[in-house]
Amino acid sequence: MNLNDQEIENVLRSAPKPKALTALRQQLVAQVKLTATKKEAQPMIHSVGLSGWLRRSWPALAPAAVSLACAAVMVSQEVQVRALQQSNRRLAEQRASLQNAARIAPEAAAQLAVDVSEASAAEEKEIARLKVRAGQLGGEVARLEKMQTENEVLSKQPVTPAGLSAEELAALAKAREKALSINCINNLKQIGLAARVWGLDHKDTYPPDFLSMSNELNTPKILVCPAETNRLAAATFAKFTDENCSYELLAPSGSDTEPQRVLTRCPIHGHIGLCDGSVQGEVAKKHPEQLIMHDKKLYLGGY
Amino acid sequence: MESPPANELVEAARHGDTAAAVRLIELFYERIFAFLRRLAANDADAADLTQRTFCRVWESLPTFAGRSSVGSWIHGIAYHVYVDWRRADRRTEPRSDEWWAACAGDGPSPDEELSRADLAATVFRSVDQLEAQLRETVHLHYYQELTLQETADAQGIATSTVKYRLRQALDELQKKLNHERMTPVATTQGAK
Repeated sequence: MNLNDQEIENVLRSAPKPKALTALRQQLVAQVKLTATKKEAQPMIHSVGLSGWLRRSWPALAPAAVSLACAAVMVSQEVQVRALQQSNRRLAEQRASLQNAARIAPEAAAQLAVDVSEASAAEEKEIARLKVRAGQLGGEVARLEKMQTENEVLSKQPVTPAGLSAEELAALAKAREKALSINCINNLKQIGLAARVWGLDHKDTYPPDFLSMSNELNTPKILVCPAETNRLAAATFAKFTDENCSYELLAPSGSDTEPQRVLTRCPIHGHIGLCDGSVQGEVAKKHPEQLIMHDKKLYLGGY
Repeated sequence: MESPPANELVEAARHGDTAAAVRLIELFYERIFAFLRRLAANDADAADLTQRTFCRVWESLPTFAGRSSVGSWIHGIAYHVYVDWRRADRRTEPRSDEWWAACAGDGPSPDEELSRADLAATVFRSVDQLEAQLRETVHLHYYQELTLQETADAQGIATSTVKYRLRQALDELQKKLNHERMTPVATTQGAK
């Protein structure tokens, strides 16, 4: 009968177990010789944990740890060396600059003395000027403070037309009239400027009417004199009519080749705008004799 | 795998607990005696080696670190005790067949079991004729029923070496058994 491996293994595993001698146990027990050891002296390792792993692996880990430590030391030394090199370089630069300064020091000192003397004279003048200016500013500040106090007192007082005297009311009306007149002059200036701009695109000739230069005028409101309260400005140039204009265009299709020719006129204030773009205030009202009509054209002073 | 109580017994014995040491003896002395009896081939030497083994166990208790099971540790001590004894006494000759025949015949031996008993005795005898390393590995793994890891721990070798030796041993046994079976047939035929 051939035996395979499995059968041989079965035979081996079922091998007879020799019986121990009866006296052997007693002999072994009698020979027990124990020496008590402290538990802390050599603890048993019941499982292979981290300490066992370390114990087995330390021969491999120790060189690696030493290498890492060496690398760390080398890196720190490299950093220190670089810092020292940089410090050295800075010191060398400072030394060079100091040597340079020492070389040029006598010349610089002489120059410096001259500069200092000049500077001291100039500074003294400047100081004197500043002192004067400070005095002036101090007076100004005192004046402003006084005005502020007066303003506060006035602002606390009730302001009503009824409370004003006749003189004050007259002064107020005069000031208002002056402001309106200035506004009117401003309008005429803008109209003159718009006419000149229009002329740039039309062979230096002025527009035939106000509506033609609507693109050059900002708003129809400037065609109404602020003093003429009963005339309304057009909302847009699309709605513009002659009723929406206070001023007269006296030089339609004119040009700036006749600078003294009257371009526009305010019938209320008597302001006139000339073809050179300037505006003369209240000429038509106060000095009408200066306006000269020639060849159906109106000129200021002469043509 | 060793059960936790054995570890606890060793730990107690380390601290001088004699009762734990006695319990350890009861747990292992029969297996150790059987192991040494098979190797030493006589009761007197096996008993002597068993006593030496346990003496060394008590001496080695403080150094037991628990990396292996208690069983494989004690078997390792017994194995080294046996190796030392064999070297000292230069006992390298194989054991006689009578002991295995006697062991095989200890149990009930009806007629139908006779050939099986003869076969077992042949196998055991062939094991005794194996090379020492292979024989001791077979003893620990098959006779003592230690696992591969425990066998490796007891012999102080790698598990892969244990597997290799067992494979070699089985091959050798196959060859020897085939040779044993062929030889009587040839003799019989020659006699006829």
